[in-house]
Amino acid sequence: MQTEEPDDAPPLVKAFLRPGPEPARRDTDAFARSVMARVRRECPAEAAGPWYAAGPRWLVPALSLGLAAVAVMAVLLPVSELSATESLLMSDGEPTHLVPVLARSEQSAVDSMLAMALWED
Amino acid sequence: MVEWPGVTSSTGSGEQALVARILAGEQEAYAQLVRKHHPGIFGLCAAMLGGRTQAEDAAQEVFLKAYKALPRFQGQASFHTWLYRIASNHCLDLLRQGLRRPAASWDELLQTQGDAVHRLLAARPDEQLRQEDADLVHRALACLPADYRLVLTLRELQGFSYEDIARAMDCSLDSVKARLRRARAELESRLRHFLSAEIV
Repeated sequence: MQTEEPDDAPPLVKAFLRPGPEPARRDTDAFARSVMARVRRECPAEAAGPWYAAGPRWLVPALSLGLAAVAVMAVLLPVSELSATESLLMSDGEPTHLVPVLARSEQSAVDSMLAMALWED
Repeated sequence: MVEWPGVTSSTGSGEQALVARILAGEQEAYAQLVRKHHPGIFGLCAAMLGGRTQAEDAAQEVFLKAYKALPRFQGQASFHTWLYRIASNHCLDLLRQGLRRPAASWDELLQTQGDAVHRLLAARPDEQLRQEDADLVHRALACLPADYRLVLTLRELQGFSYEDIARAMDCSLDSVKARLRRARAELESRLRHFLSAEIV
């Protein structure tokens, strides 16, 4: 967008304020070299390493998300309240591959004995 | 305007592409931007700080600051304008801190450099300024208030449009026009006073 510009500088100001000669190319090159030396020293470029070098950057949020998802599922979908005995009875007394799984330490002693008796039958 | 390899003279897409390459990790591409903008930034610093020695250090700081701030460059303004904004603020900061206070007053300058001022004013408009004349202009500008010298440098020495000056100085267009009018009037009055005193 071009806006209307006010009148030009007075002739005296124009005559006095004129751009000087541009720096020589070699001066500009030397200047650029010294700036780049400072840039390299003060702002080292991040080396692009192999993919696993960047692991922690995505691993931490990924693990956090996973743990959060597990926690949400544990809250929203509680483990069935069925006891081992009930599970066995629901299977019509047929010994199934679930029995060893169900015979766990948290079972009551009665459950364990009942499970064993059914297994021996 | 000097042409640099890989950089288009119009400050648009060529520079945006260079900035993108730098941000993607190609640090050395920054050297092209430094080479292209060195004359202008160096000139601005010299005019603001009143000398080439101070300008060299200040210009280096400006380019370093710009490199560090590059991830925040939005691309809404051109890189050119953005860089001049950093340079203007840096010079104003230095002047505020009093680290680069000009030693000579206007009267002192005219007493010692009166002949050079006469020669400069009598030179043809298209005549290329010599380095010592450019130094004289910078020293004369350094005798003016900081905002006057900034607006005069951007407009008269660097040829900025009013919109670009407003962006570089972070102020409104009306403010640029008002400052420029006052700055020109101040400089003209000083030069007229000098000339009339010489004639008498």
